[in-house]
Amino acid sequence: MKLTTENKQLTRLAELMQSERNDLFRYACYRLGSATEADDVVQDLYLRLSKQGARLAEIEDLKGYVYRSLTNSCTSALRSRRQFASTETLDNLSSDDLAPKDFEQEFRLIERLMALLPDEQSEVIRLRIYGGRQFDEIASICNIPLTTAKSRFRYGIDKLREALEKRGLI
Amino acid sequence: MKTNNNLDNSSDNRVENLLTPRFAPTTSLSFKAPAARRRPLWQAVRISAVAAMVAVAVVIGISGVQTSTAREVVERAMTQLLESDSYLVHFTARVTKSTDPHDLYEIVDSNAAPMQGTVEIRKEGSKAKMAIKWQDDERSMELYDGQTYRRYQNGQLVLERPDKGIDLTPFASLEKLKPYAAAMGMLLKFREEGDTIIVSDRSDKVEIVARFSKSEGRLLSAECKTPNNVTVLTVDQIDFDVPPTE
Repeated sequence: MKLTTENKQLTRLAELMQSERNDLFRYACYRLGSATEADDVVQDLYLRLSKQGARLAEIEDLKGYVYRSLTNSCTSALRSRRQFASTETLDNLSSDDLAPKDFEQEFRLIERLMALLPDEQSEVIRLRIYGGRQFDEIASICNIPLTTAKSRFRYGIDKLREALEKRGLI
Repeated sequence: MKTNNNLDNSSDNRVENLLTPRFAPTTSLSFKAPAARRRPLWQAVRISAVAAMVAVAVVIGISGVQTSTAREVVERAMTQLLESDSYLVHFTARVTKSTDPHDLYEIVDSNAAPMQGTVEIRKEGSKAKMAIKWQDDERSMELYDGQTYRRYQNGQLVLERPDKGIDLTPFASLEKLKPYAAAMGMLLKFREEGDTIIVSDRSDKVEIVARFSKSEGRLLSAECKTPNNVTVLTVDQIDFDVPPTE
């Protein structure tokens, strides 16, 4: 049976979402701090993109578009609950906090670290570590040159290292 | 040209190790391209599936507790639904009859006149038997026993074909219900508005609404609406652990 353009595009989207689902979900988990909310956001994203139907054919880099849409969805979800970043600082961080025992503790630690960084650096780190993206993909998602994606990552990591060293935590 | 995705300078592994997820939750999400549809999805949804979902919404009303979140209430409601060996949903639906023997007998149609009926679901081991009875002129009845679908009119068997019937597995938990609903193009969302818990579909194809009074702890109403705000299914009553009907 010959597939219509719309069906082809919906199949293309479904296959992409299926192959990327673990990375998409993990990124959303470590952005939102909730597996349930991450599930909702990723499913919501899929349904929203599905509605574009045949128009998906106009998107050349569908994977980049999906990740870009996901980062926006997560930002919107955080905005709706008016919580962007952890208000906790590293001042009262103990060495025990550096060895989390479950997802909640791990997320809290990561949020405290990310809160030290400018948004553009934390976003690159999140896409790299939690979204599992390569730097060229991050460059495409964030619409920045490859060298900028790499330098944002490096500066972010350096800043975290300095902050942790200053407090004798590493 | 191959892209160099490595960092030019070595970054600090101690920090990267600290950021590396060790307790990442896993997901059961699954994505399949939707099949071509003959009619709008909300019309193709099985009346039984809709009724079962409304049953969930109804139980939300029954078990509503002030201190619980909508999600917690729904989880508890589903547990109650599963723990009950049988339940009987009395509903009113706008439906038209199909003459196609391979199609559903009654198809949800917002232009049709309302008709009353019941869905009885009875669990026997891992199987669920279901009977839909319509209060129409032919006293139509549809039976699913987990293997076969039978349609009766005026007490006479008029159609028999293999059919697995309803699968209650998706109702075991919210996590299982969500992908099931998503496969039908629905994304269930639970939210509270004052004294009301609303279960809705974010894709705007079907909206299932259960309203109940938290203060009184009782169900006020449960209904299923189309995108143009026509109520196509209303649950009038739900009974648990009912004795088998004829």
